[in-house]
Amino acid sequence: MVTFSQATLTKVKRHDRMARWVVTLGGVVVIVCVLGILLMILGTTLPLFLPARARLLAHVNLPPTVKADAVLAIGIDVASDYSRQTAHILDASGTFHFVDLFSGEVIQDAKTRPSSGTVPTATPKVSEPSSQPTVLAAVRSSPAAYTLRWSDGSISLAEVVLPSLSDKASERPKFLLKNRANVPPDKFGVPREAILYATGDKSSVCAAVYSHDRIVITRQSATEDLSGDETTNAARIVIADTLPGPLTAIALDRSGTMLYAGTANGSLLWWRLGEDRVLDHDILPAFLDKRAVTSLSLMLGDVTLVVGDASGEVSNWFFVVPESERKSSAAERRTASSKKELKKLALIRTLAPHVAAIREIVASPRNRELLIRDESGAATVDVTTSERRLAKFDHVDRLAFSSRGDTIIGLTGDEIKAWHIEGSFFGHESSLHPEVSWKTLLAPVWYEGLSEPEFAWQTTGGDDYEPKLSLIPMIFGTFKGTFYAMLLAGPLALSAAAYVSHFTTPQFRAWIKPAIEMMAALPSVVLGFLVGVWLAPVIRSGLVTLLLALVSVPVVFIIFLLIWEQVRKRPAAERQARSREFLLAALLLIVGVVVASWFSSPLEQRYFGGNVTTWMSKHLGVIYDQRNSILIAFGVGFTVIPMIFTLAEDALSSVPHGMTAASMALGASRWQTLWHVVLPSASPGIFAAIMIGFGRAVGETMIFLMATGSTPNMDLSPFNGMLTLSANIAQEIPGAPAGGTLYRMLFLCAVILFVLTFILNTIAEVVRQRLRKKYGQF
Amino acid sequence: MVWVAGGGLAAVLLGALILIVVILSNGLVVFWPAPIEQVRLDDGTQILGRRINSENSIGRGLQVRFKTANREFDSQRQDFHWVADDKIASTDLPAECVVLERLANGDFYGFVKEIKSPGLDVKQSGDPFHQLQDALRSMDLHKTEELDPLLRRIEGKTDELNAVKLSRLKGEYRQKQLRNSASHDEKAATALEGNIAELKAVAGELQKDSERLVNQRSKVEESLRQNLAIVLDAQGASRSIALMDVIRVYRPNSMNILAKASHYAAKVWELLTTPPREANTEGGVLPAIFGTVALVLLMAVLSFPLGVLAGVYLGEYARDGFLVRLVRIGVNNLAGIPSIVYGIFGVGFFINSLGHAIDEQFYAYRLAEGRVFHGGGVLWAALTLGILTVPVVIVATEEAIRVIPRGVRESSYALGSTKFQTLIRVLLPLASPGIMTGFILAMARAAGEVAPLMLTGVVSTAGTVPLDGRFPYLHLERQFLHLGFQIYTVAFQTPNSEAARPMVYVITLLLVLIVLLLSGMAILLRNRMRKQLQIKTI
Repeated sequence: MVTFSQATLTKVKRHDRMARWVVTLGGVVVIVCVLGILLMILGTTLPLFLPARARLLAHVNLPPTVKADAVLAIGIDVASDYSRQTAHILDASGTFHFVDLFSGEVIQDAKTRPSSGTVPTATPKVSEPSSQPTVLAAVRSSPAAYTLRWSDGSISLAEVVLPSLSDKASERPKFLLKNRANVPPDKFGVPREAILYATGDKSSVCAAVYSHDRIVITRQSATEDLSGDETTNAARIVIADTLPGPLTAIALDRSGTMLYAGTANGSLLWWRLGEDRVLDHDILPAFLDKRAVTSLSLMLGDVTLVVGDASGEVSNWFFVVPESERKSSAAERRTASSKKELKKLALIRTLAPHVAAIREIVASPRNRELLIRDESGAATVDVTTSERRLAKFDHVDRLAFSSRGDTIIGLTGDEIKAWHIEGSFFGHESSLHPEVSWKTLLAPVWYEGLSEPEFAWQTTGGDDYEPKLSLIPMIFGTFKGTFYAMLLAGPLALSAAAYVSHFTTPQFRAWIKPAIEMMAALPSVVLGFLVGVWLAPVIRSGLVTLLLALVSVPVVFIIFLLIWEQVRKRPAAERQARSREFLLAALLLIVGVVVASWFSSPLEQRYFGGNVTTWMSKHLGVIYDQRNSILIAFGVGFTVIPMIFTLAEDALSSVPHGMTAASMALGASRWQTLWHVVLPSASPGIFAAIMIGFGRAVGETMIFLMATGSTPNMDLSPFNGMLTLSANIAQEIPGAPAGGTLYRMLFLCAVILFVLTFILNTIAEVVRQRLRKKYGQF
Repeated sequence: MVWVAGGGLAAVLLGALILIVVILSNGLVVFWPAPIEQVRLDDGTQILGRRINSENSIGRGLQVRFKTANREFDSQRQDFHWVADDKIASTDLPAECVVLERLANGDFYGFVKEIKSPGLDVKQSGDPFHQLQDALRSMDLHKTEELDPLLRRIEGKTDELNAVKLSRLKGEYRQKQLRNSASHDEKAATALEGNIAELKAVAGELQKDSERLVNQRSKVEESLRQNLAIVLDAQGASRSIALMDVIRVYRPNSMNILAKASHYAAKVWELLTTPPREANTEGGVLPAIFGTVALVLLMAVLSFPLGVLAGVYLGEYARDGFLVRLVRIGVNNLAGIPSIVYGIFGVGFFINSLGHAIDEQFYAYRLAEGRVFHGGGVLWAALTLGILTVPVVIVATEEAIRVIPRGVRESSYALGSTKFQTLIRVLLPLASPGIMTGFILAMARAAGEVAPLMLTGVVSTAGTVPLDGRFPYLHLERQFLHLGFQIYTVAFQTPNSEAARPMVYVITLLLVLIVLLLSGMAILLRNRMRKQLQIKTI
């Protein structure tokens, strides 16, 4: 007998214990890692859905020299790293007070005044107090520029020039005031309302309302002649129309081409302005209950007009092609949309209401946010397209955005307060994505430039372009592609599996199964390439053949079977064909396709004018895309056929032999046995196979990327392409900066894919485990 | 109805057959020297080209497409031209027609007129074609003797320069850190000053050396460029082509089958051993093959041990309970998660979290020069593929261990061995074919997968590859080329996609061969294992 020393035994036991630990640890770590994937992807999408909050950054008292009721405007300058936050306060004397928001001390005072000269020159320094005109009101033209309405009737544009970022933090920032533009007093007296924009370095446009609701537009531009002297040219448009009611608010776009106005009896007016005359105008009874328009503002991009009214409602309006025009044919529509005249100002949406009349609406300089303040002193931050309300403040006066749009400053009594608008994750700061809400993701949204609410996905465009973030087109595209793929793959794979499992000989089976399994290993990029480059022109030129084959192949089969009924009476023929039917069927298929191609060319010449695709677009209105769903059916279909085939074949052949033998013994034919005995017992397995195939098709990326054209359209036509979740991720992630909205949206696409395939696979897995248990007892 | 089921099978098999035939017929013929036709049209113009295909378009009759090459001399800069079949007056196959394969602008089809080779030792008499061949041979010699050593030295200088620059950056960063730190160690910072100045001087020296070498190279090139081949194109216009730019010359119309076969072999060899030229449309795919292999091997090293560990745990150690069943469903499920989801996980976790952290921690001094790990790279791609293939390995391992009959285990225990000993000495050897099958399947999947790589660092052209002669030799942070991605990018994203198509078919054929070879091996191994186990259980 072999004996071991105690030492060896302990060593062996120690090894065993260690191995148990290592293996268990390794196993658990792998499984935890794998769960971590889902959590990580979910975590990245989380900020999209977090609620917003306004975090109080600073609150300081007004400088003692400034009275709260003398404050005309307030603004904020935030350094990019938040190391410096400065408020500027404008009072009636035209003085800007710059206040450090950390210490509350006044850094600097700077006074502006209306310049009587034609061109604003040097920066006016703090000057002697004298019988200067006072500022009656200030309107924000940009985050750091104000239109000042002076008591002498002149209008000026004062811009606060922020200290450059290169200034060292230790040094005290120096603010400058710049008089960008001036409009001298008009003969109509002191304006009631005015807005002045600088349209260029030395040009400006101004709209002012004088008594009797006369509106004067002044365009100024300075030109330099050869000697270097500057002359200012001013063009003046006077609008003295009879209005439906007293004017209450005006809004002018930044280029000075569109002027909007609201009246006390609920009408909206607009004028299209040329260089020196009104080109076009219209009056729109906006509110049927004749409530007064109390505030007007233009959103970033100057397309959407925001209207605040006396009942506390805020609505969005922009020009759209009216429905009557849209119903005209596609060709006419194309020319119509290029002409703006046909468009009508339309109510787009109404935001969540306020309780009191709207006093002031400030549009964010960066995105679709609005600061809305009402008579009761309540203010909100609303996002228009996503219809989210980000924050709410009470008892505030004079609100303003910072130039980056993420910080808000306001006056509460004698206190200046600044808030940072951010996402909130259980009280911690996180990034905020105000343009995303469940509504923008899943419901049709009326974006600027669309003639009706739509499911739209479009993420690239100009500077003040608003990304359109509906998930529906991609989800639709994913299901559409998968549907067409399964339409081809399902029947083919299942019938092949049925044939291989029950109708053929083991010899054939021994090479057919591995052959189809090898097909599964074919990289999808190869299929995508062949489908996109080789098959696309083949299908395009052979479309009629393909459609005809759908008829001719069954016809050939039926004719053959009718003949076969006669032939099979001879046992020799029957014996020869048995278990080899598929070879003959392949021949029949080829014959069917050849017949179809034989007929297709004359058919195309005779009925479709020689080219079926142009005929289709002309007579059926069906556009044939080069990259379409037929290609997807073949490409993706071929990737899932091996998978469905293998699983279904396993399920079919795992039905106990005793059952089929019993059925055959009772005189059932091979087909009857399959249909009535095998299929019912194997149906869960077949269901699982289809589920798994479906899951594979949903996640396929390369074929969708190479053969769909990636157009986010939403129709079921097999002749169009689609945009799928997977292709979209692959396509857009290189252009999505980490942490941005698009980046997180793409992660959301991945989550949807993950969840979708997870559900499909789990159903399949549960069904299969049950099946295994059921047949385990045989 | 049996016939309909048979029809389904027939359709699947026919489809697969068509697929294989298309890949083979397009991929195999690319390198075969096809004859060049001289076509005379009705209007007197002559075309020299290879017949590609013909199409019967309605209203215009039969149209034939010729590849006429000579891209830079064509008025439309096109390689291909459509010709109406009924306009062709005559065609013949001139024996002396030559094809010049060039470094730029694709092939040249034409006739050799004369050779001007002042710098080469070539007889100035005899058949111009043989003269040209001699001249090219001599040119190759000159290139390897004069140009290549220079190029190698320039490369070496550039490497040294980069290394010096990195040391300098490190020094400067350290200096800045010292100055900004709380202790404000000005002394140490000033001490570094000398080092930095020294490095700067070295860099200046190297820069001068390198410039001198570059000058020398351009002189050599200039003298070599004096050697010209004067050729005639289809219209009889005489063109001169620098011999330096010519890679290979042959007369397809006067080659016998043996010559054609050797030409074919040479082209295949070129494909497998040289880097690509002309935006991946010509030349070889060596970097892509290397990238694919490196990626798959790296993935195997990173993921297989973990997969086997988890598989062994699930199959042998875990107690069968609700949790384990859940885990099993989870693992099976993971095999079905779309690869693009793994790809985006790689972006979010490996690149933007891990890579970012590594860069901040270790490479802060050179971030101004570009990111290191905070970006796509072969390591991240391999890790992503690793977690993608881990479920395959887990499932295969678990299955292979579970099918081993109970008796085997029990007899091992009965002999007094511990669980670990049973595992190592009995179970794993028995399960190894099954585990190997899992490995090979995982490798086949990894070799063919493209979507996750597109997000984690595959590129279509790379100045640098992950492996070179510079320390530390294997650069895991670098981007790489991949055969599958090469198919996508060359087929869909090159401007001259028509001319690039033959190359895509060749790459496709190569990739399909690799993947089918791997999975064929796996299937064979599995079938053999099944038989073995059957014998054992009996």
